[in-house]
Amino acid sequence: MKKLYGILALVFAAALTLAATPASADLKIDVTRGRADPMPIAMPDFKGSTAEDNELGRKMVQVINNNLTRSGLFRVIDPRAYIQDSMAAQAGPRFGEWRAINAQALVTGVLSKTGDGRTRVEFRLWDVLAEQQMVGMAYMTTPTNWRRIAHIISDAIYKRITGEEGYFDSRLVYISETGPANARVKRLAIMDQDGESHRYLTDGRTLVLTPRFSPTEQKITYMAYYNNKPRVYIYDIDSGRQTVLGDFPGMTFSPRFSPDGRKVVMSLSKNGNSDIYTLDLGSRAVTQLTRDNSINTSPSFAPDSKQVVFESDRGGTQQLYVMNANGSGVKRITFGDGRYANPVWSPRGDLIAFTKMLKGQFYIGVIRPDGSGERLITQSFHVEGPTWSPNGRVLAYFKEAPTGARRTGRSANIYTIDLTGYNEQRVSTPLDGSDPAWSPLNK
Amino acid sequence: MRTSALTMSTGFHVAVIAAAMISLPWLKKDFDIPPPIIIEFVDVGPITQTTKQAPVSTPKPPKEEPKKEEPPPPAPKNTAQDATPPAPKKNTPEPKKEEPKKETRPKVDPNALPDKKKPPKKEEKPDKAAEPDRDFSSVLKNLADPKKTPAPPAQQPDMGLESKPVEGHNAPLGQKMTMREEDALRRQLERCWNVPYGAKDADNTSVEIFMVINPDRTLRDARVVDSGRYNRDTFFRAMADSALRAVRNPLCSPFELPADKYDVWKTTTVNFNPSQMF
Repeated sequence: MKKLYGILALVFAAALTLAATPASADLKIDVTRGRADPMPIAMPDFKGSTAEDNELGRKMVQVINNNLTRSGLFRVIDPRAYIQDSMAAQAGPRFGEWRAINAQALVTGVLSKTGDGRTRVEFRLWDVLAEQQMVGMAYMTTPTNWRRIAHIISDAIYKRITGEEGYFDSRLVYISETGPANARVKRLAIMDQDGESHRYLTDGRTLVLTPRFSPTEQKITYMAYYNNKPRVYIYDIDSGRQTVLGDFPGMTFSPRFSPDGRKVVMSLSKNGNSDIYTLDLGSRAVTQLTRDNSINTSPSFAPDSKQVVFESDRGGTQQLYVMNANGSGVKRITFGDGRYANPVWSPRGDLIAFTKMLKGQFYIGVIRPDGSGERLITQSFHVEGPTWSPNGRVLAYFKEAPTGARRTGRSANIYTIDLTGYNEQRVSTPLDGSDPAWSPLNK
Repeated sequence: MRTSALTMSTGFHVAVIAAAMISLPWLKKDFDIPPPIIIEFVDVGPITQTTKQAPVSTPKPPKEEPKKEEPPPPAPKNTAQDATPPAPKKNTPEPKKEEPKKETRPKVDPNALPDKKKPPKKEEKPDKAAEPDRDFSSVLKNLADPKKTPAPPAQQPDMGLESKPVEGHNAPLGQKMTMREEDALRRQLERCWNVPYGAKDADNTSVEIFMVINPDRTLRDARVVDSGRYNRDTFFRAMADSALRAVRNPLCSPFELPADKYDVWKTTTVNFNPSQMF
């Protein structure tokens, strides 16, 4: 009997070994190169049972289409090639037909009304080649909220396909500009990241500069010259309330929130040089981080709050430096020609964006926090003010160009670019726009 | 005693069969069982009213007045703009006068662009008819001078080896793939693999796909070897899905494989790894 057990045990072990064999295939191939083309995706209009729902479904698909296309990662296939509509495909796509038009992914959606008058939007993302659903979600909301739902669905698609958080359900605050060069009227304005839902936050009587979003709340810090005195303010978008941050001796610049939203880091200028300070928003305690006889400004926290990047001319030219959050361990990270300014740490931590001035041209570039891998990704007569999308994948900034016969006028516009350096897109604004700041994802 | 031996034996047999069924799913004819539909209900209604905030501006002047006078500020270093024309940036802006013609064309002083593959895009509308295909090697743009650009991916080193078959003396003829034959499949899959580039760890992630291939060189089944990581790491899952799409891509069917070596390639593992491209 023992023998029998022994044999059975051997058979069992052999079966287990066999079970483990799929990984040890006969042939092994390494593929180390691929393409970077946008993914072909099909997206028929979402359908409902009423004309109103159909119209809403059409508009939502337009917004999702626009978001995905602008990201540069997707190519929406011309709807005239579609054979199945969204309602039918929602119940089960005929994958062969979608493969025939080279779609690799398919988005379907249906709308319906709930008992309490709200709209229910259900969408599914399908992998056409694997013939299976990748994501399926439903949202219930008031019909007026359709645009926001379209952004949320765009983010869900983006996340499932790329593995990274999306950035479509977010906003840009910026400085709207109008009027002649010597009397520009500047107003704080806010819009969705695609330029829609635009509105002004200030009336233009006060000069406003350098808005920056809180990474955790719907609040903005910015500088305003009220009665010709520059001060750092905080604007609560939900309540419309503005508060002055503090009364500092000297001049304050470049306020920026810490990643937890509890502190503001900025530079204060006294006696001809400037140093970097943090201000605790709860206790109002001020801490000086740099003590140096040179200009230190434009600080930006790393997402883990452990380090700060800033610009300084302590080495003779304007370069970027990284230090610990308590001011120790200062280390220079740029050594290239030209001058570096406006460093901004990416929310995902892997890169720092900056503005560079070289031979009369401006560039936006990115560099790793250890100083390696510098790349310049866009260039112009005047381009600056980079700000990261909440997922650290896209940069927004503004470009300025001379206008008029004598080229004395200025026209400024906001752009976005993927951090690969391709796919630059203009964000349309009613008037000129500068100094954009990207919000975190809406909550 | 006999009964218990029988029970034991039956138990072992069932275990063996179950293990085989679980781990050798490609033996089953249809493996594509429709997965369950997952619908998550998220009520975003009341919280997300985009119209919730007060309409237009009502700009309030800042309420708190400064208590005391401040010394006249030294010229702002970092606040680039003020009402006067945009002095570009801080201290001593570089001569911005020699301007290029227009703003919407970023770049390019010709020699600043080392990477000829991609003309930097000027236009604002991306939705123009398909841009030229982008080879992964040129995916990261750099306008800096050539010495700073990331080294272009080395040309496939194996190119020169194409003519050199690798079968060993002992290998029975037809029972081993030559380098040239492996290259054919590799290059075919490269054309079908759309890499999720630009992601944070794209250069450090590799994905193994195990394939079972029919004698007519079409795909019978493909799956991710590291299914554990597939289920817990969203970026790995995206990368793995891109690899699965590559092997399932109709453009890559049938595979470019030598028909007479079915025994060699009927099960194949492909390691998709873009690290050399950065």
